[in-house]
Amino acid sequence: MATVRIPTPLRKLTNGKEEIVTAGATVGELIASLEAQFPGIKERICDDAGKVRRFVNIFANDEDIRFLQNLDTPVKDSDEISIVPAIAGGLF
Amino acid sequence: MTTESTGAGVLLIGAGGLGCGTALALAAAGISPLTVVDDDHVEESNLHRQVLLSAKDAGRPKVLALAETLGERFPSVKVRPIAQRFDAANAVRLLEDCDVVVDGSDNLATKFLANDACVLAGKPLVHAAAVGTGGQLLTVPRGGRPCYRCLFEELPAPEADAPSCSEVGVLGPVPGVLGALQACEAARILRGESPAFAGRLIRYDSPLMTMGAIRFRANPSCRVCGTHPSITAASLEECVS
Repeated sequence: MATVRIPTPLRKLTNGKEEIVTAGATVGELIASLEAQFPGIKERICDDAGKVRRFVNIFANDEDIRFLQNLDTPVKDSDEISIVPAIAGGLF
Repeated sequence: MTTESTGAGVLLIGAGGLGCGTALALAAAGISPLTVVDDDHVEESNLHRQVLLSAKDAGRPKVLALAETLGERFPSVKVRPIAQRFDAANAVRLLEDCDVVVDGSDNLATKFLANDACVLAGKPLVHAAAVGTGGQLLTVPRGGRPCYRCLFEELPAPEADAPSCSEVGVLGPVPGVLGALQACEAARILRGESPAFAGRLIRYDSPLMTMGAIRFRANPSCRVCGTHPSITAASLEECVS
């Protein structure tokens, strides 16, 4: 079971949870698992083609998955996966 | 400790929550001149995070109210308010007159523009963004490599796809924390020291009370500082529209 750190703006979809411990052999499987638990979260991370959106980055233990195997990057138990979108402030 | 600047000083983009936090810390440190560019007006609903602005200023340009407040508290600091939006038309001119740029803007289009313009102009950029109860911070060194676009490749289109404060709000003190850190970094750069946040994405999470750094590298295919850049000064407007 890996730990996925949810960025502040997406916590509305995870009932306020900052971290989700979930199962998956790859980063892509983890995202699918998140989607099963929190419907709607995948489309905030991936585009219609299933690729990570270009204003979102995913780090596996602080390594950018673009320089690993993207969504096929293997995940081990105890790994920490961080979802990091570009953000900007605005109205409250 | 103060850092007295005798050069072209700081260009601060945005006079909102981040901008107020940065401007207060920079002025208190004696950093001058400080040019602030923003076309927005004071709204009472935003005052919980815009600590240099007051309810009596509602409806006035933020940069004028901010400059007056700083002028009263720190009369030796020269503040130059520019009541315009930082955009592709004025970016190059504004960057000519500064040593370091601090991005406290509130939208992604301006953040991508600030990055691209700074990389092309060879100006260091201290970036921050706050949403909800947390935020991000990074520094783009002169010429990039890495830059903001190495990390976030493209501006979302439409922007509504990206998480924003309009969905989740922002906790008042959060931009103050990030703005103060931006001021620390800008002062460091003005003193001629190496940027502390270059190639590092600093993530501040107030509920978890964590502040961590993820290292990121230059992206060889980056459109502005990669090996075959496609973004030029002439194409800035097209690239962020």
